[in-house]
Amino acid sequence: MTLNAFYGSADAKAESVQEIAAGNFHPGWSCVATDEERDACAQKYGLAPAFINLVAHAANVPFHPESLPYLENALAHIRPGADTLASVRGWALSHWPDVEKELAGTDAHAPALAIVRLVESSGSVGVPRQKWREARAALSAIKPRMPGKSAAIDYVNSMAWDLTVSPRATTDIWNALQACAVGPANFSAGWDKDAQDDVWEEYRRVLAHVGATLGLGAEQSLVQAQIQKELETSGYAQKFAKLLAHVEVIRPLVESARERGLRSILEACAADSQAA
Amino acid sequence: MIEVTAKDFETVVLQSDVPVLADFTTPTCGPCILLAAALKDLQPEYGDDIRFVKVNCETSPDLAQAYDIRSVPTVLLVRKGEIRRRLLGNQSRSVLSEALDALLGEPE
Repeated sequence: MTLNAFYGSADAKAESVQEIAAGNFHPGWSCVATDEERDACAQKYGLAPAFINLVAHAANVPFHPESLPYLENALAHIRPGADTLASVRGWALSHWPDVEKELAGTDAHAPALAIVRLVESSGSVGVPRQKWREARAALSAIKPRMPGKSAAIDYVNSMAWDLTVSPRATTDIWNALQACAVGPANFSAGWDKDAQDDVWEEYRRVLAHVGATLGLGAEQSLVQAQIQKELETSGYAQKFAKLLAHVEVIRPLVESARERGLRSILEACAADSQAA
Repeated sequence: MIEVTAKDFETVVLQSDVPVLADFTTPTCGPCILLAAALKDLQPEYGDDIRFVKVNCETSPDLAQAYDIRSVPTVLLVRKGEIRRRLLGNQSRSVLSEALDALLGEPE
């Protein structure tokens, strides 16, 4: 069922914006809302759950200090009667041209384009679950051969879900787009996702080893000292320091990607108003 | 997704005929809620090929300790009683499905 934003009422929209401005936001707007809360919020405002999830997650409602003003702004950009699921699709696809340039001429381009076509068609016809899965599998199969393109591939794959059934998949699209902004910098510095995961896994292994060696009854100060010693002698501390230094280097990229991403959601809402 | 405890972990997870995804979680952590939503989307894709279970680390601290769970969520991919992969933190649907497909394709 298509939900029409604010059920087509400009008054309902104004009331909703005022509620947010007054700080009275529905719990479904929280980025950690339950499915029930999110669905209730969707019904209240006539907004697609996928749209609510996207805005809530992207703006980190209510934890980021600017999240409520952003939410208020986002609602103000929505035309009463708009199909916000279409806005979400438009938003997701609006990033494809940049990613397409990155994948052009590679083996990933054709399966990625197939997914983009499916997303486009899903606005008017239902796409069976199996078809989404096959499309994702075709693209994923190429990923191991293209380590420098994994962020771009993840973005395209993250779109290959039926957003009426899996509205929270918008979280993955957002995260994948953010990763695209830092993916090349991570890769060239030797800190792709696998390398970063390895650091945390190594840390876990050190903790496990110390726990197993000293036993459950060991005094905490002794455990801490032993952990510190093993982290230093194993070379982990130096590796972790390098990772932290890299995180600092890419911080401006992360921040600007977030700002661009938030702006692109507003633009997708505005695009619907202009089309109408 | 069924919840398992120390009482049935051996039979439901370790002795399972099919590969198992075990989500070590707590009810209120934010990343756990996000991961649970992703697993809910993925579960129907795998039907009976993979068993999805969750372990509540608050009510089953013994299991969390036995499997060295230092943070939640942590996902263990288990096949024939062996932990084949450990995924720390929230994961995207893509990462999870790639890991599950790889698990299904692994030799026994």
